[in-house]
Amino acid sequence: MARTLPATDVVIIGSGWSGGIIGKELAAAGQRVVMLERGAPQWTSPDWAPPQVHDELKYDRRHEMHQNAAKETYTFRNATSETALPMRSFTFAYPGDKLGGAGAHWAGVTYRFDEVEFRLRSHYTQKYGASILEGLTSQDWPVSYSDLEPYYEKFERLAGTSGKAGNLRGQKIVGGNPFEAPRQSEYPNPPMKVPFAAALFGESAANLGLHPFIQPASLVTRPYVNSEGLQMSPCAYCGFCASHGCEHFAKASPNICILPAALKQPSFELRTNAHVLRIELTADRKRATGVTYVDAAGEELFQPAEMVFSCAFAINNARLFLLSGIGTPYDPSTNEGQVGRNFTHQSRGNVQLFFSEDFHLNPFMGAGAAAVTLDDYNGDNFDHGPLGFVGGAYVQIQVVGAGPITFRPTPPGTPRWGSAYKAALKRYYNHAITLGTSGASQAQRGSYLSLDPTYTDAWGQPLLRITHDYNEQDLKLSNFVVDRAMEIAKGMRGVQQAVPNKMRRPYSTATYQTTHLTGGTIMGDSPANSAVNRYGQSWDVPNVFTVGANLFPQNASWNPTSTIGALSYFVTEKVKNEYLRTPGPLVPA
Amino acid sequence: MSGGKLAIGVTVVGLGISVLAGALVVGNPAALLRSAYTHPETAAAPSGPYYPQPERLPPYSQVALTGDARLGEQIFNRGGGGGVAACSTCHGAQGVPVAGAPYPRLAGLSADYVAKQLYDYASGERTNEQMRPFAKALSPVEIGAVATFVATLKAPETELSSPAQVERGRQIAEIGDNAHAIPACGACHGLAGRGQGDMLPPLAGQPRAYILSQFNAWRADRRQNDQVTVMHGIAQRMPVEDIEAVASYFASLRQKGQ
Repeated sequence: MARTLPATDVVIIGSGWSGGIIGKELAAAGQRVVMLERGAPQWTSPDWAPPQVHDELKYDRRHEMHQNAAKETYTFRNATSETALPMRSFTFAYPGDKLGGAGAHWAGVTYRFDEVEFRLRSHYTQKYGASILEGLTSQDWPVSYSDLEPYYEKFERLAGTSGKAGNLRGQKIVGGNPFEAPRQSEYPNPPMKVPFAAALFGESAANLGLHPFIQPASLVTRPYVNSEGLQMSPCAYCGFCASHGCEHFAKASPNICILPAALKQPSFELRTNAHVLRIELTADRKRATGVTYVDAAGEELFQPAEMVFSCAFAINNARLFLLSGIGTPYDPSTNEGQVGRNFTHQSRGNVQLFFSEDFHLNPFMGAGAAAVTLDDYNGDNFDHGPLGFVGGAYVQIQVVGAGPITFRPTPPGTPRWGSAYKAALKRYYNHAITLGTSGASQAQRGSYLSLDPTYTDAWGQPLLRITHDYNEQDLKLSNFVVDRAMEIAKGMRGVQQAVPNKMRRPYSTATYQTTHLTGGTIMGDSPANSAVNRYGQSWDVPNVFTVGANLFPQNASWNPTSTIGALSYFVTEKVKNEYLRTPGPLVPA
Repeated sequence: MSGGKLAIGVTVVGLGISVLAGALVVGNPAALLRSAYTHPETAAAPSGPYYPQPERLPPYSQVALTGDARLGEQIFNRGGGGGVAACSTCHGAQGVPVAGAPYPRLAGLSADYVAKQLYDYASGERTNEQMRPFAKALSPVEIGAVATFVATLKAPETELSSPAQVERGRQIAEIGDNAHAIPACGACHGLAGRGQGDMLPPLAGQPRAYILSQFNAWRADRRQNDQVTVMHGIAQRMPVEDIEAVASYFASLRQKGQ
């Protein structure tokens, strides 16, 4: 029997970007906020101090900052006809653990979505006919780009995002992304430096008439005081970024950009090592009474609250909804029920490049988001008519660093061990790079989240089961953009060998793709097509909100963090202005 | 690596070179001549389509790459024209000043770093009344020469700890201070203040007075020439007691055997 704690106004589950922003804003508005983080606290000093923070074995191989699969993992299967098995370690994606969540170990890539992305189904249907989306359950967002624009800007000022505007209030600017949706203001900081390999990519792309630009990144490029008055220092291009904490106060994270401001609020309380089991509901399942969690000592505690914000890692929010009995679980056989539906990952594909020996790429000098990239083959920036798929991909060379454990490029056909392997490693370490693509992924009936009937976590609760495979549309997309990437590769000086890797069925959890898992509790304009409304508010339990990539109806090609940040501000604004005055559904069902 | 240096020197004149990518570090000039490589900066026609490009190699790096160490040694030990005093007068014959002097140790600094300081003394980005006239009197070739010679002076090995070390100073040096958003000094300046790379000078064994004077210079904008522009903010945010603690800590990590 859980011990009941003194009541509070708001409980926030998770201390990542969405939890941090919402927690700080609501505490500043006078609400008593309790934030529950399942992992340990971690701060730049002392936890990310050098040199140990560059320990690849600890951070990249042993997943220091990722969800601990020994305690809580996912089960996976490609189709409902299969029996799902648990993942014993995380390879396909890196859900975050500890203070700051995935926002502490991300790479800093900070894209806004474009205007078309938010009205995906209606745009493509109108332009290309309904058949282009046949068999897919992708849909329009209940918010538009212009709804979110001011909040994108807010997030960029919080995170010190660096970049160059390509479309400032409709004015196209050379050097930025000419395809981006109009911005009201320039980025808070100038763009990052350009690694050599990325410059060679940009040169070839420009020769083909494409529009390369420096990838926007929340790695600050000059001393910066963010919108919360917190200090950040410039990126040193140390090359240990994603999966690591940043020792320089350069990579934006909840830990340096928002949590210190939240902790200054007298009505804000942070509890770490607090693992939430479920959101408790009244008997009629129409109202949440609080959350039950287990603390570091193993004691079960009930924290009563007026409002609950589920701000865990993307798909873990769907699991919390399922474990708590919020809404109706999705049933793929009838296509009914909303919780668990429209799970997507991203479409990947790349070209491995091997250079002649006089092209010294020095890939160890990099940063998580240091890239030259292009959107010519993204969104609806090209004709989809003859292609038979929707959306697109960004194509880029990103130089993230080249630690000796994780970066061991050898051409195909190289033996996996022995002297020939070592010779190839020596030959190519400084002369190889990946030309990457990151593509959209459309939702389909067979890709969804549910509770596993067999396997449980360390607390005896059912694991989240992922059922997923690539659909034809995603394969076509990957095929198309990898062919385009090959054209760029062939025009790059110094390249001796270009090896294309296209996406193939079946989808496998054994290789890293991205951490950008989306869906499960998607937002929509009606309870018939979504688990939550445009403010992340549950249609079924209106004092439960959730904000994360779990709200995305399907996955864009771009990285999700900026949109999660924008949604966090968008939701908070509505809650502060309306819900706190008159609690209840913010959108009529 | 003298072969590599020669090749780079050739490259700089002909083709330009990227700073971040450091694209051309080859040991064999003949191989370089055979290569089809041209740097994107020089390859792109000015009227061609835009694409993002790496930074140019700054002038101080160019003179440092082509410096004549023998000329540098002469200036270092005997001074130069225009009233340039011998560097060794204050900085010591081996680039190590006498114990107790407030001058920085030069032994262990890279040619790039030294050349950049001399350029910046001359331009006023780094303000120092003693150094400015000397730096202004030196030609770019002489700056490159002095810098190249200084880079041959081996850094003395410094202690990893000392009985007199200031604990608070060690803490900031090794783990930083979250409350003031101060990264650990070691994140850039290397373990135990022994320096890192070309542009991050060693701090261990530098005189306490010198370290304090630099903190003051950064706070007052008399020095604003660190490449990544972090030192101004760090110096501003650090409480005075912590600056003193850090200066005492690094000064206490003396040259071994002293």
